[in-house]
Amino acid sequence: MGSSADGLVKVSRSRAVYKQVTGRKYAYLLVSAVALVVAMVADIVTGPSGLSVRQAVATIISPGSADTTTRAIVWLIRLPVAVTALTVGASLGMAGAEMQTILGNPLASPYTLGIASAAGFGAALAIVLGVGVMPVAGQFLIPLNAFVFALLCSFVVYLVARLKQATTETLILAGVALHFLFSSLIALLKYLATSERLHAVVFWLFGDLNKARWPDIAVIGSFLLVVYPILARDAWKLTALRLGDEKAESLGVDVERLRLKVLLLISALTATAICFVGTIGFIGLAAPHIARMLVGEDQRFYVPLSTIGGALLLSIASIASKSIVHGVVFPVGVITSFIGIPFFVSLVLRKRKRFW
Amino acid sequence: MKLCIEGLTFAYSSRTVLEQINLEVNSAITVVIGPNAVGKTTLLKCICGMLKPRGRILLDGRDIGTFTGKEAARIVGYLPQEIYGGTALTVLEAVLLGKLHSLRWRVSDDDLDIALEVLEELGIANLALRSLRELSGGQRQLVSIAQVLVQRPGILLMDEPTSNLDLQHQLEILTLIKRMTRERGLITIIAMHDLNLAARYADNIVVLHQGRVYASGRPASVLTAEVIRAVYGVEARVSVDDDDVPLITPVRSVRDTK
Repeated sequence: MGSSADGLVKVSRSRAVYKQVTGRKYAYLLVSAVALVVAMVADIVTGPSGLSVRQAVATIISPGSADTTTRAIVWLIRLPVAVTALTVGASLGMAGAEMQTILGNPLASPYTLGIASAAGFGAALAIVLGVGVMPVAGQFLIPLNAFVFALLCSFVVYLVARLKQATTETLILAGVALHFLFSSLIALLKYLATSERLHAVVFWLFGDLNKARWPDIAVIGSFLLVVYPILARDAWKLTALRLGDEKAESLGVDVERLRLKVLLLISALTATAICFVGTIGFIGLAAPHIARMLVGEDQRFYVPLSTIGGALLLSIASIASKSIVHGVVFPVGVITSFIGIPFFVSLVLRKRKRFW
Repeated sequence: MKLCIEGLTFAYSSRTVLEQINLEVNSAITVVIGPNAVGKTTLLKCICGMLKPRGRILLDGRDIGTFTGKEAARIVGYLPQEIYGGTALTVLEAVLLGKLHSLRWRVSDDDLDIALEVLEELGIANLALRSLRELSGGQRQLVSIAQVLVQRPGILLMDEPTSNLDLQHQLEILTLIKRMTRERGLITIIAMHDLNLAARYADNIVVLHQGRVYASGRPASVLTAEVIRAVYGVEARVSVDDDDVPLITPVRSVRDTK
């Protein structure tokens, strides 16, 4: 009797200590999710033709009630952009968080291993020479090319890592080599391109949320929903990876296998996201940093927060891209760097504690 | 419990590091000493199953090679030399990771209880909510020990657990390890450079030299001037202090270093 009462006291006490650790983290998740919804609504109402929040929400909930023009603006222009920002930002945030985890490096982003330049090369190949990797690609020629080359790049990194050991050094060296290879190939294609096609290549490389249509968005979104549960199953193992390879291995983690598995998952995720919109920088680097500052590296909080954070950052960038000059929509890839980097640097400089 | 190592040989590609190691280790503190690169760490990694050597390692008659990764992680607690301090985890989260094989998405009461219990046992429950980054070297070492102890291992392998600590922390950590070893009947194997600390805390000492066991036994019988000259190439005076513990005073290298 006495012992069970004693046990009960201890259970509630250790649970209480644990709640002190996790309580704040749930709060951050909730707040960021609310901020994301607000940002998305703001994104939808921002644009050359004025739209009130009530109009926008009503049109989304019951499209039939709105007049044709409003319906067209919301459903064909504003909403696709807002949802693209959501899904692409979330994909980049998630991929960035895991890339920093498996490479054990705060400078890592989804693009560290050359994936962005590979995708860019694939797209440029389609734009300049009209060469596709798939026989029947039709209107999907450019995204499909970008996707295939992005995956090809990460697959080469994967193979190199399999042949040697999958240490972070091997991965980064292979990735950096491929990055330079594809960058120079892009430069070559630009050199060969007519000025009209050169313009199209440059425009693709910027990254632009207006490119994606509903079917594209559905692909990005559903891929995100498939990948996250797989990553979540290894949440504790991935957290343990941050204690160092040796410690993780001694705890029974097959470090090499885990690293390669996650590499393939996030490469596919990144490739899917950027093949429709082009390369959008900064999100996959900054979102994980901010998430880590707020909730630490317990993957059960770190990855979801980085995902929501990525979506939030890209939504804000999307709003900014429409509001800097009235009537002009800048490519969002330019904006993320413009507003993102000063913000990010100030965040890093202001922090009192070391976060890596 | 008894750990028997029979004919253990290990090579990194073509370079043989350990050759025909035969050892019997009981529930006590065994300290492995020897010069740099002699294979102390390699030996520990072989025992915890991270490296696959030739020969056999038997725990109470069962070959360690037949343990699954999960089983091995439960039985053997390994404390690597390099401890990552830069991780944004709280002490409680870091200690919970020691129970990796039983952790689910929702952390169970049992796992939380054990984690807190061990933190209390080591006197660092007050650090539970602190981030690993904010801790001193000594506190961080205590956290890693807690992380190993929550596994409730039978074998404790530690690689240079005191190398980055000041004098007081060195003594405190080793006293703690000694107490845990006694209370829990652990087989504790520690790789170490400091001969005087080894002399004071070891029940047995194993001297590695050129990939083989050069000598093993009680500290007083192993730590002699002859052994130190042969293995380390150092002239040393060995006396016995007031506690009957050998005291080694290194004097000079036998290499001519004018």
